[in-house]
Amino acid sequence: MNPGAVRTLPLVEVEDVSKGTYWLRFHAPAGFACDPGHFFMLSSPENGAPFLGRPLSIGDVHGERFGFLVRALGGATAWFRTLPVGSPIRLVGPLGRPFLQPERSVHCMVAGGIGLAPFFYLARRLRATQPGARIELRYGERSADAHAPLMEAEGELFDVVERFTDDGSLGARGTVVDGLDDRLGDPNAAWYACGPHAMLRALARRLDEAGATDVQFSLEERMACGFGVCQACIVPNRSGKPRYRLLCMDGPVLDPREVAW
Amino acid sequence: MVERLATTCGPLELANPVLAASGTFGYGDSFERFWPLSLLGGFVTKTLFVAPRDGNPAPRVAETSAGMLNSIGLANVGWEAFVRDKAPRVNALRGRSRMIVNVAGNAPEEFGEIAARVEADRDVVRCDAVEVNVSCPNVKEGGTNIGCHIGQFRDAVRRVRAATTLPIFVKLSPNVADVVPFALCAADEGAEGVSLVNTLYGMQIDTERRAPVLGTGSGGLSGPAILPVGVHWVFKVRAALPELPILGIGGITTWRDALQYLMAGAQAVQVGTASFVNPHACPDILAGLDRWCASRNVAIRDVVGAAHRVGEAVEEPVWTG
Repeated sequence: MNPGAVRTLPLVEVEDVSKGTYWLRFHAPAGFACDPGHFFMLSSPENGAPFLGRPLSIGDVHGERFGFLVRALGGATAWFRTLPVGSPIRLVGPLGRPFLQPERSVHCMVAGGIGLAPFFYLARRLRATQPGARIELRYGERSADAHAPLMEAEGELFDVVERFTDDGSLGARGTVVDGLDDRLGDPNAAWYACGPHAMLRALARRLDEAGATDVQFSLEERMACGFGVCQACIVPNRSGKPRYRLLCMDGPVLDPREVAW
Repeated sequence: MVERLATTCGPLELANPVLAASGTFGYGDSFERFWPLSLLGGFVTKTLFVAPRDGNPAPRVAETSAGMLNSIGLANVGWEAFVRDKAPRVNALRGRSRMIVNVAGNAPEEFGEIAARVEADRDVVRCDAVEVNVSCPNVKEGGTNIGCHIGQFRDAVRRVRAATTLPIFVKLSPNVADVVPFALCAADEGAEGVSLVNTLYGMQIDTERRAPVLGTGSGGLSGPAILPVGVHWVFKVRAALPELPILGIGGITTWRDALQYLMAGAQAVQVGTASFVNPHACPDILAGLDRWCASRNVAIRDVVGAAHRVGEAVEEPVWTG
């Protein structure tokens, strides 16, 4: 797929993985290519459904299929879940700037809630290109029922998985930001994070204080187009010049030190 | 494209009646990754001010039933950067596609200033016309007051007219009791035509937060939800001022929507919000119009204003091109 291609593809599979969270899967058409961290705008090709597209990070690309991990939060994300297999969905993408994949001995991924989405593909790619590297996932949810089971990804893609819940119903009690101590300050670690704004803001401070320099966050904002035209997805810029950047063009993967949290 | 799609809107000779609307097409080169700019009859740039603007705080968009609200706040690179960085690139890409620069100011005097800048740089920019944005609902001290108050409206259009000899299209706001007097005023002041309609005022409230969704509270409603509003005003303006060229805008998503505007009396249309959701909206609409014209053996020019022939026997003109 050329950058920014527009395709209407039939939905091949919907798989529920936890409360409200599911995979939307498609057959990869000829020439399909994207990198971890890229996103696609998914929308209905027919009028009448939710009007705007939704930006979704590529969740995984494996074999002849690719998919998106989605949490039903109302509107389009709930509507996608109701679609029968075979339903046409318009996909615009890949869009945005993906994760850089520096050569490091340790890759630390930090996910809050549906911020888990981009890390399957990132881990899969790093596993292939840096087979000796250790890949760690720290994954937090509010409660146990929201936790997505990682199945064979645990072990195959992630060497270590540490789980957290706000209420302590699964894994350690607390947030992922509380569970970094053993790795903070490791100069060999590259950091990747995705999750709610408050989590990312706290994590940015934590990593900054620890002197981590190799840090990439995948952010989320409301957007209507996904390719720089609607100007909706502004991220306040720490330097102030320019005042805002567009997440769809400069992101969604950003260095948190460039963001005015 | 083919001759049956060719049309004229006042002084603008257009290869086809599909233009991309201001604020949904960047400065002309944003869709190059999807299809060539030269396909279009024309395009209208994002609204340009003399000075650059950062725009409004987030959130800037909200989805509605069959549409969206926006409060982008006329973020733009400013006139100088447009002339230096955007216009040369776009001119290299556009072929016969017409470039219309959309301009605005925070007060009637500023409309005169930006129009003078366009006039001064017209040989460099090579635009075919100016669209005057008097009706953007997002700027407290600017567009809304001007576009909804006939005195300020007249003042702004007069200043633009005095500053440039380029063709002027005034983009009219639907946020008034009657759009027709504004169209008449634009014509009186020497505008070559009108573009209608701009977005409608709207607000969405987040019932959990008990607060408006948009950072600025209210915004502009666009998308299929406003299609009948735009068609209505185009019809009314055409009925009152049959000689005034009209660019029809508002909620066009399909080729049949575009045809409604043409039959209401617009010589050409602008496609806006639809391009956000379907980047191929413009070429899809163009292809649909072409198929329809071919199947009915008519040319686009022959259907302009066709819906006004109420009570007449509708004879389909024979296309001989």
